[in-house]
Amino acid sequence: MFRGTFALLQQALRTDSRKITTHLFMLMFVAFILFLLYAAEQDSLFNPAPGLQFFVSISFLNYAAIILAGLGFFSSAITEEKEDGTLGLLKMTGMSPLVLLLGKSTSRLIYALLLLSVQIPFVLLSITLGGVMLNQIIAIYIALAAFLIMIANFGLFASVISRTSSNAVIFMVASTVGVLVILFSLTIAFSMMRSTSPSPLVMSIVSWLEFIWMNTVIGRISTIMTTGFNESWFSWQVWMDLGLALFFFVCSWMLFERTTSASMQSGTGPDRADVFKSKKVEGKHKNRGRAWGAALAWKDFHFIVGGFTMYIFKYIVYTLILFGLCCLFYMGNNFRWDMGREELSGLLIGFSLLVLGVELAVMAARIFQEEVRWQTLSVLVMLPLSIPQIAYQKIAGCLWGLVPITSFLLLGCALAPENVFEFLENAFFNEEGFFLLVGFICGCIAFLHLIAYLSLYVKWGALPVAIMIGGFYNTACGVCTGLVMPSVGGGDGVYTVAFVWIGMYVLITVILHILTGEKLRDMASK
Amino acid sequence: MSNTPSGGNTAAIDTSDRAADDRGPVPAIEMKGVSHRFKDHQALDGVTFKIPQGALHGFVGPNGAGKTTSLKLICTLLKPQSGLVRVMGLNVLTHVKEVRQQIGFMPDHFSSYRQMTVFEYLDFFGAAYGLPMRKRNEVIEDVLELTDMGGRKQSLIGGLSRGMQQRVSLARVLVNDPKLLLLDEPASGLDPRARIELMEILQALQDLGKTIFISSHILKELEELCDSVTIIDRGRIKYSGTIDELRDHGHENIAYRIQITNGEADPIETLLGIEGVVSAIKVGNSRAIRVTLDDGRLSANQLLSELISRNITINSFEKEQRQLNQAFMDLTEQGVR
Repeated sequence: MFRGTFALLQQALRTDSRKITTHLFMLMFVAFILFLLYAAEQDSLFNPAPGLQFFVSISFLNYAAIILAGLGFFSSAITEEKEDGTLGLLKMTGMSPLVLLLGKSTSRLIYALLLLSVQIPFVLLSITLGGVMLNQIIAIYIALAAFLIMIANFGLFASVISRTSSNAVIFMVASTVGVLVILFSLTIAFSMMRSTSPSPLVMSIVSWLEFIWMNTVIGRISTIMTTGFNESWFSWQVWMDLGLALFFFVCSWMLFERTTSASMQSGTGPDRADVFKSKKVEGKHKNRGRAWGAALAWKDFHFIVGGFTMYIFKYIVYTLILFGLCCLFYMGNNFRWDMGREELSGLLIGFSLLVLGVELAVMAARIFQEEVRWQTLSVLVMLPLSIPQIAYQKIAGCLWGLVPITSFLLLGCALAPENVFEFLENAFFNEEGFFLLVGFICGCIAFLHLIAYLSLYVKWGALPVAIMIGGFYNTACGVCTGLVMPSVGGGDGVYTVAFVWIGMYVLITVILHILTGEKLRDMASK
Repeated sequence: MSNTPSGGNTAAIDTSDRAADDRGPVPAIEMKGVSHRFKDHQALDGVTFKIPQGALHGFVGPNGAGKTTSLKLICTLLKPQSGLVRVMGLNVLTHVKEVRQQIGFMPDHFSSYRQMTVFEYLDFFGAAYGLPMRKRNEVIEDVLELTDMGGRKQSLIGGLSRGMQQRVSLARVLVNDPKLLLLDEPASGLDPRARIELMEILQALQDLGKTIFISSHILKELEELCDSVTIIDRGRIKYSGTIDELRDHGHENIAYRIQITNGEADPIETLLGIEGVVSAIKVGNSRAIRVTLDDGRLSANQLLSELISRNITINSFEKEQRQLNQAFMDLTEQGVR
């Protein structure tokens, strides 16, 4: 049985080890750790426990990296085979679902565990810097490894039941957010009930909920970081994560045949053989209307953004989320409605800006990736349009998809216009505020360019990789700024630093813009 | 049409359009001394050929010979590193937009938006080519009728068979009414019926005055369909001309199939007894004999006169047609590329 698993594992490891990106990624990860180590050492003059600070940074970095890996790396284990139409070929070799699942998931898990273990020698240096014990380091890495195994199997499960990798990511995010919202709501509701009517049932539910929160990986990291930590390395969190991992793996195994049976005939792209399949494919296209003059904008509006149907869906979903948030505030405020016009406006604006950022990032990741996936670039560049014209028409089509969230933003602004004007006044008539706003916008534009560019290289997970690179760049620049700030002093020195930050973002944007155009030309000619 | 094999040194890059003193009609495609290199692989080496307008021209070569690179240069997906490429007299380097308006390119892989319906797909490309909506309706109806897809215009592309998808691709190529169609392996992956139907459509398109340039491996089909052919091997043109000329190209002795009766005498010995007959071999189990003549010493007429003068009865006599794949094998080299 394990011959097939080992064959898949060996092939995946061999492919990974041949890729330069694998080694570059590892190098970048280690470089970042060394950089944090350097920053901690520099900080030791002002901080009594730089080792602890360094270790906390590394732990949360790993936590973020595991989540991003779950979204971008583990979620495509099976869907990539579905999309390439090769799953049927693998099944025809006689490999059982168990062998396929083990073979496809273990290589990625081993790679991720290696990435985690490669840090340990460097992290041990934090003991020398002070504030951390060996006991804590081992406990953290065991907790993170268990969390990683759980995320890997959750990704595998999402990958098995979804048609495409993007669907798998959506499933992972939606189900995680859903579970967290439910837990959070229950916690608030029962905590309130405990203070008003403390029955034994309510008390026991509250203690269970507290137990669950304590045994999330974040809760566990916080526990381990406390001074004098002396608990077992194998906490409930470790066993719960391993149990969940086993549960997800078994579910993947049970559902594998049902969700992949149509892949036997596929040779030309994604199937509709997942549990979320829609049988009403023929009826889905009725509201698209005729192509606009800007044909590419029409195409991307309907086929990337989702068209007018998605408008309705977004309006409903965003309204429900906002309603849910209002309910949480209501429960959190001891079942009293205490939100005024300004608070509601703040909620709407904050939520809209957050969703706007997420939507823009997802669009940037998909805008060219879809063309690459469907091999349509060569046909598109044969149109009598230049590459920039093609790109701008596509961007325009995608931007139409932001209408729902923009209307929520405008509603938020309309509810408390005085606050908006005050913000704008602060931004435009205050030098620091102005630089901050311009820097933020330039950073966002550079980030979107980075996502679009990476999507031409990375088959899946351009967004998580861009978040990692962006995070690394900003942290590194932030530390460097922190180091040079004392020497440049206040006043004009601060503006010089702001200019450098903005200049760098602009430069990065221009370079990525040119590189994206060149890469698109190159890919079209292939 | 040039039938000069080319290769060797490459010319410098040429950005000129068709000069006023160029004589004769404007060729649909003109490549002159074109070379192209990918890192350590010389894809094209001094490629030179011309295709007249209205031709249905086959472009043949083994894998890695440079067919797709040539097509990509013609359709402006690649820029020539040296030499000259003109489409309808326009240089592909300096008139990219105009050249793209003149051509319709169908790549060897099926690239389309599988979530669109056939009508949406054609409407999208019509709009992208700048056709107004009313004109688009007419054009779409026309191309759907021509490709016999009228009944499937509300079908999703992803749900169509491979043959149907290929027709949709062809319909897409025709939306902007190009003068020149560049088709890369249009019949690959099609069943025999779909293949024959596609060939019929291509012939109908030629009758409408389109120039069709087909890159293909299927020699038999090109032989039946095309007026002329270009053979490329290892980045060099080995032959460019009509198919009839190709059959005789490099063929030293012309062969005939003959059936004769000469009483009790052995017909092979009778034939070998005639001066100028190089060989006479029985063809399989039939009564036909394959006779090769020494062109310089004996013509077909002289052979027939000689047989009649010897009172030999001639039951049948025909010139043997050399198959395209035999000519192809003779012109191209062995070895994996």
